[in-house]
Amino acid sequence: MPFRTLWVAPLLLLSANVPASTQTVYAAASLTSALREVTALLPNKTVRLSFASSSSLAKQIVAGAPADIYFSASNQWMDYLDHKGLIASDTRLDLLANRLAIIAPLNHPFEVKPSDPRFDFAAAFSGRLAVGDPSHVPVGIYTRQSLEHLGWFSALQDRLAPAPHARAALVYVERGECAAGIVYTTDAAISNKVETLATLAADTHDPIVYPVAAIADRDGAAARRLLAFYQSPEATEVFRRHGFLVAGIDSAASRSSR
Amino acid sequence: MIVPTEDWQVIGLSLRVAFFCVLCSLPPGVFLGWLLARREFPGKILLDGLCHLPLVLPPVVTGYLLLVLCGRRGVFGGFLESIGLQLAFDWKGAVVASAVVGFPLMLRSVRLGIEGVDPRLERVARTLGCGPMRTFFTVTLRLAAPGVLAGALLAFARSLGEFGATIIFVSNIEGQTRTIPLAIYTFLNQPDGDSAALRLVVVSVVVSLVALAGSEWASRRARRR
Amino acid sequence: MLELRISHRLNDFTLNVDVQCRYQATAIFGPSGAGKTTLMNMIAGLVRPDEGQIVIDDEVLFSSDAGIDLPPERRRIGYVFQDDLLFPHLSVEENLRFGLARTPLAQRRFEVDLVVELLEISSLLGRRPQYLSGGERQRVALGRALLASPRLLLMDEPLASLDQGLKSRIIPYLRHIRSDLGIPILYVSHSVAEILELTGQVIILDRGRAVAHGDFFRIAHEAEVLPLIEAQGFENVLPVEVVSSDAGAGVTHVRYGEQALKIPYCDRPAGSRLFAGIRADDIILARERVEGLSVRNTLEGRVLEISDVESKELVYVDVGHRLAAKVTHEAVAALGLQVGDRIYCLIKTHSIRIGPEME
Repeated sequence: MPFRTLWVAPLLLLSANVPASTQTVYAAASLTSALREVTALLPNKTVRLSFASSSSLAKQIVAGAPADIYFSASNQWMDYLDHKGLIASDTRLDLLANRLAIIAPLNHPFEVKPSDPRFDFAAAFSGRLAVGDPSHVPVGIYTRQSLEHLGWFSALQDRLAPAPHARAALVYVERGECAAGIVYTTDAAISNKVETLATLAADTHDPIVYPVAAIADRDGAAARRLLAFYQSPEATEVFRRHGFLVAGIDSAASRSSR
Repeated sequence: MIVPTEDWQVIGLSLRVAFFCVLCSLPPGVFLGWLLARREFPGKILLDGLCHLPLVLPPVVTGYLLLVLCGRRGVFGGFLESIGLQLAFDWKGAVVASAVVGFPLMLRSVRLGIEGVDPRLERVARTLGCGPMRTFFTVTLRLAAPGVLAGALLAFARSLGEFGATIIFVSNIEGQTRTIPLAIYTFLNQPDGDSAALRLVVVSVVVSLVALAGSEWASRRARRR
Repeated sequence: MLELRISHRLNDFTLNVDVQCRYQATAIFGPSGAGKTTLMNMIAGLVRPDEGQIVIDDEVLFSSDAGIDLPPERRRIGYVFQDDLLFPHLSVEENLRFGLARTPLAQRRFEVDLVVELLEISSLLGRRPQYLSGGERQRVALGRALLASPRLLLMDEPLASLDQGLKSRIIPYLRHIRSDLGIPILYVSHSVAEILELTGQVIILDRGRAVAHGDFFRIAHEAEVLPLIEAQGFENVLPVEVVSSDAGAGVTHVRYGEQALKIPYCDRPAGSRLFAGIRADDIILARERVEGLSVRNTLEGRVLEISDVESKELVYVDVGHRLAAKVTHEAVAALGLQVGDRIYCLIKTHSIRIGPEME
């Protein structure tokens, strides 16, 4: 679409000191710290990052936002863009994976046995369970799948505290407002005011994958170069350090359900 | 069915939250409005600034502050627990979030209303045998009624639209804290939720117009008296 | 009986008053800014004096020593202001009843009907204050204050915003209140003529000090008082009786004791008594009766006193009533005036101001 090319032109004019292709990456909020560090590894300052919820980013892209790469926290929204023909499908890959962790406020742990079918999670704590909003936040959707798989959901259905994003869910647990919460392992790693009680098995939910793709009708070559960089050893090391599982290296990440 | 039942639940919750929000913020609003309008005291500017803080803070920040102050481990947490009041994850917390965010708007209106009352009328009432409290209710408040009413309407309307502080402080619990703005937000975040969101938007506009018309009628009556 | 002992620091000066009033009506007179309104506010309890005592009929309303400060609603002192200050959100009748409702039954002295009839406001009862004229509003304000059964009525320039016609129509009501209802009145005004309509008892206030207190006719000529009332033309006030009027000649003939005077034409019936005001500057002194002058009035009397006032001399003459005449030092020397001398006061007809009617 000519409209999209028009976006690039002013960018080229503005970026006098940098090479012609300045790229914008739209990424899910849970990738913030990891992706920032990865981007800092690049030799030139040619990549700009924009973080928000996967759903907001997808809608912005539909409305014509100048993203070159979309890094989602769920397949749902990547599919959404794919159906609208907005991504270069051949560049799509499930780059990262994540796991779910049950957390509790620091120094207030309790016993959790997710592998024990007789374990009653709902009875193990009182009050509400801090989660991402299962109605639309990816971490919440995966949480619900896991809880349902483990048979814990019906008892907890009316005891959820659905947060708008993982950060808020973390805060609920950090402040002791909730005696327990379920967030990504990467989220739990950020906070030093919570402790992880257990990690939920990957087979209790759809694979938590982070698909990344280049947006169609943009500078395809530059996008491919950036995507290749994300798969490089240096980038991989950063991702793993932040707690993500990386495709090709960690088996859980290489499965995808499209 | 033009308006599905789930929507009515959301609307009902929003109206209930907005109503109690006004109910709870009127007494302190009227008192502080009177204090700032009629009294000089050291630290007055500080108090005024404090009351206007929710106006300049992003609502999400206000939500976090409420969590810090009124959560279980918060400054007021112990006190709230002792009187059996649970605010986080509860519709009462939504009331508090709305009340805090809308307070500066109501306060300004009430204060202006009271400042518009000739203080000499209050003095006359005193010479005619009215004590200070009686004077306040029979003279000052009666004459400031349009301002108070306008302030209440502002608080009500602000509550109907309150999102940021609410979603952080009480989260998005269906039937408990999912007010109209939170419901619209939820729909918008689902791939096929646009039409449902639009439906709610239309309904909330109608509700707001009805509320606006009602208060306009009420304040006209107050002025005529 | 009202005892006032106040000391209070105001912006430019200190309000310092120590007086006792025991009359039916007392006026407080003084230039603007003298502290009259502040004093009234203190009596009403709206302002707290720094120091002092306010006692009415042996009840202590305020005492800085004893730490007593009765709030306004307990003092039962009515207050009528220059602006009527009627409650705009209430009807006339509701305004009237406002104070009545808060007066215990045992202490109520007046019925609504009585006051309404006295002030002739029965046709206004259902209306809102916004729709009344100035005079009507002031009467309602008066009625409202009365119906609270006050033991003292304060009036702060209540007629100042009304025109002359309206004033003269309301003054009879004030006299009624004073004489028939028996409520003591404290009346603030900066107009001598207006005060004289109601009472001869005055407290003169200047820059926070009560410079004189008592019968106006006695104190009018005091050194500190005279400058204050000079501008209004009432340094000298003569009670006279109308004999006849001549519109064509523009003159009304009046009698003062045995002496005759011609004052500017006024339409008063024969036999009516009123006050005539003459400025000290306007009195010419002569050793003998003089003929052939346009001056038509001559009053015979004796020199009582001669005193110095700035660049002039004040000569006090007893014409049956004490008159003050201002002449130059040179004139006094040229005439060789001495106390006890017989002297004639020449007064132009148009120098005489027609004052209030005597009751």
